[in-house]
Amino acid sequence: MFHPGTQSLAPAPQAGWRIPPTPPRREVILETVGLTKAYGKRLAVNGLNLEVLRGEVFGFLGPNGAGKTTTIRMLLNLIAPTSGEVRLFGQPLVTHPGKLLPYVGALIEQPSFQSYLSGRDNLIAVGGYTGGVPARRVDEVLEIAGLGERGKDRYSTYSLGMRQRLGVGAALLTDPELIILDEPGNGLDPAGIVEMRELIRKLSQQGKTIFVSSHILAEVRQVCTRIGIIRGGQLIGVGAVDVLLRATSRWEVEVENPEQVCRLLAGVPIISALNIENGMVVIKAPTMRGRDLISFLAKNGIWPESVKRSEEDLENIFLRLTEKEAGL
Amino acid sequence: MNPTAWQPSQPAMPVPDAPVSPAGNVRSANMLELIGNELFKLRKRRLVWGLLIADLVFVFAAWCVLVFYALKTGDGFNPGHLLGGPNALSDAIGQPLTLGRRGGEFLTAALGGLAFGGEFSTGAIRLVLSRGVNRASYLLAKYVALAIACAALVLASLLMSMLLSNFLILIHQPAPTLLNLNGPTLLTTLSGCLGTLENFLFCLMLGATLSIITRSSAFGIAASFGYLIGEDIAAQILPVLGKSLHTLLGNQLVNLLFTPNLNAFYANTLPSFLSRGLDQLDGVIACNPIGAPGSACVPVSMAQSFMIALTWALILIGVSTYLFVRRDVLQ
Repeated sequence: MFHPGTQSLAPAPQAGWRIPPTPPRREVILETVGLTKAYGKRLAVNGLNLEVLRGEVFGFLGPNGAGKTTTIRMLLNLIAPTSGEVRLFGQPLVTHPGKLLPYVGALIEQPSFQSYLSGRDNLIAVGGYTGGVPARRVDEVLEIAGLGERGKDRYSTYSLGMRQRLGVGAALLTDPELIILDEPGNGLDPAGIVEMRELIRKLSQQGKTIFVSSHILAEVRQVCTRIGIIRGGQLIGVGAVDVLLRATSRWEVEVENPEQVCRLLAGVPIISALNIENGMVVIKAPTMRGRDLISFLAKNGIWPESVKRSEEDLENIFLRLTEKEAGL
Repeated sequence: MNPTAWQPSQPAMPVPDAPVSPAGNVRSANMLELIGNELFKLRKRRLVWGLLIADLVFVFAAWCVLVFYALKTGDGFNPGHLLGGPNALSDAIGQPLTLGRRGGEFLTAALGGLAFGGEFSTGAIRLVLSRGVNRASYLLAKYVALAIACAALVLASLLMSMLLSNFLILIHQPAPTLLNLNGPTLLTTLSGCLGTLENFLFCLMLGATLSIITRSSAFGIAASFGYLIGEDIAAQILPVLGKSLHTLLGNQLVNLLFTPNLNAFYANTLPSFLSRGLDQLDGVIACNPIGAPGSACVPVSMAQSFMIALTWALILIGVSTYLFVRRDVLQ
C-alpha cells in the first residue's frame, strides 16, 4: 500500500498469486541526501531524500509552495542548499558543477531567453555555454520543438506555447543524459500537450532519464514510471505509478448471493478488505488478477454476472495524501 | 520520514568526460568561448547598435557646436585658439570626443545595466547558470565583452571625429586636416581616447554593479544615471556647502572630494587646451571648480589618478563578483 512515509511501495510477494521479477541493476542518476533549504526560519525544503534511476521518467508532484521549484533550483546549482547534498551521476554537484551540469538539460518554470535574439540564435547562445553546438544540431532541435519555420523570428514574437517548446528544445540541445522539466505542459494547447507527452516517451525510449515536475496529474500518469509527492518541503511519498494505482484498485463482483461469496473469499490471503456495497461484493486486493478471481469463483460453482476492476485516480490519491499530511 | 533509506547506496560513478552526443563535445565553456558567446549576443542586439549610433550622433552634434563657436567668434582658427596653431588637429579631433564623452557615459552606464540586469529581469540568467558555467568566469567574460564594446564605441567616435575634422577646410581655410597628422598628434589623440575608455569602463561597471546589486536593469540604469547627473549638481552645491560650514573641514571639503577624483585620469590624458576647458559640467570630480581661472583641471598626477580609477574598478568588480557568485538565483 502507498502510505506517506513508507520506504517502499513494492508489494510483498504472495505465494501462488504473483512472483515479482528480479529487479534490474539500479543506477542512480540523480540523488538528494537530506537536502534542505531554509529562508530565515522557514524551511522551503526539509531533509529531502530522493533517488531517480537511469532511464526512468520520474514525476515530481506537489501543491503550490510545496518546494518543487526550490528543489529543482538546487538540483541545477542555482540555489545553494542550507544543508544536504545533490548528487548527479553519482558525484556531488557542489564539487563538480562544471562537469556534471552540461549533461543535464533543464526547463525551469517559464522559459526565459534573450528577447532580442531569434529562437535559433538563442539556441546557439545556449549551446555556447557548453562549448558550442553544431548548426545542424540547432536546426534539428528546432524541428523537434516544432519551430523549424519560426526559428529565425525574434523570441519576443513567440507565443507562450512556442516559448515553452523552445525551452524544451534548449533542454535537449546537448542531448543530455538527464532532462529536468518543470511544468513542461505550461502554455501548450491540447495538441502541444500530446506532442510533449510523445516527446517524453520517445526520450525515455532512447534511455534518457527524465525528471518532470507537473500539476497535470493525468499527464504524469501517462508518462511517468515513478512519482514522488512533496508537501511542505518534505517528500511524503514515492513509488511506481502502477503500484500506486494498483494499491487503490478494487474488484466489484456482481453475484446472486454476495454473502456466500464473501464467506468463500474470506480465507484468501491476498485480500485486504472485503465487503458488500449495493448488492455487489467489493474486494480490495491490489495484487489480485481478474482471471484468477473468476477461475476461483467458477471452481467453487459461482458464476458472476460481472466482474469489474476500478481504481482511484491519481488526482484523488494526490489530494488524499497532501491533505492528510497537512492535517486537513 | 526517510523514503529512500531502503535503497542501498550506490558506488560513485565516474564523472562522464567524453560523451557521444550529436551536440559534439559537451562540456562547460572556457573563458574565450564565453567571451565569444557574449560578443555574439551583443552583436545581435539592436540596442547596442542603437547606442553606437547615438554615440556617433553625440560626436557629430559636438562637432557642429565646435564649428558654430569657431565661426561665431571668428578667431577660432587663429593660432592660440582651438583650431589654430600646431595643436589644431589634436584639438579638432579631441573636442568633439570631449563633448561626446558626456553622452557616452550615459550610454555605457545603460549598456552595463541592460547587459546584467536584463538577464536578471527576464530570468534568462537561470538558463545560463543551469548549464554549469562558472559564475565568476561568466561575469568576467561579460565584462570583457562589454569592455570590447566600449573600446569599439571609443574607436568609432575617434574615427567619426577624425573624419569630421576633414570637413573643417570646407568652412575655413586654412584648417587642420588629417594630412597634418603626425606622430605626436596621434599619440595625444590616442591618449585622450584611453582616458575616454577609462571613463566609459567606470560608467559600465557602475551600471553593471548597481543592476547586479538590485537584480534589476531599470534600477541599475536609473541609479547610475542619477550618479552622473547628481555629480553635476553636487559640483555646484558642495563648494557653497563647504564654505558655509566655516570650519577647517568645510574649507577642505572640496579638496577632499574633488582633488582625488575619478575623472582626473581622463583630464590627465587630454591635451592641455582641452583639459583647461573642463568645468563642473564634465563631472563633479573632473576638476576643481574653485581652481584659479585658466588652470588645468589636473589636480593630481597621472599615477595617482590611475590608482584612484583602479581602486574604484576593483571595488566595483569585487562587489559585483561576490554578489553574483554567492547569491542564489531566485528569478
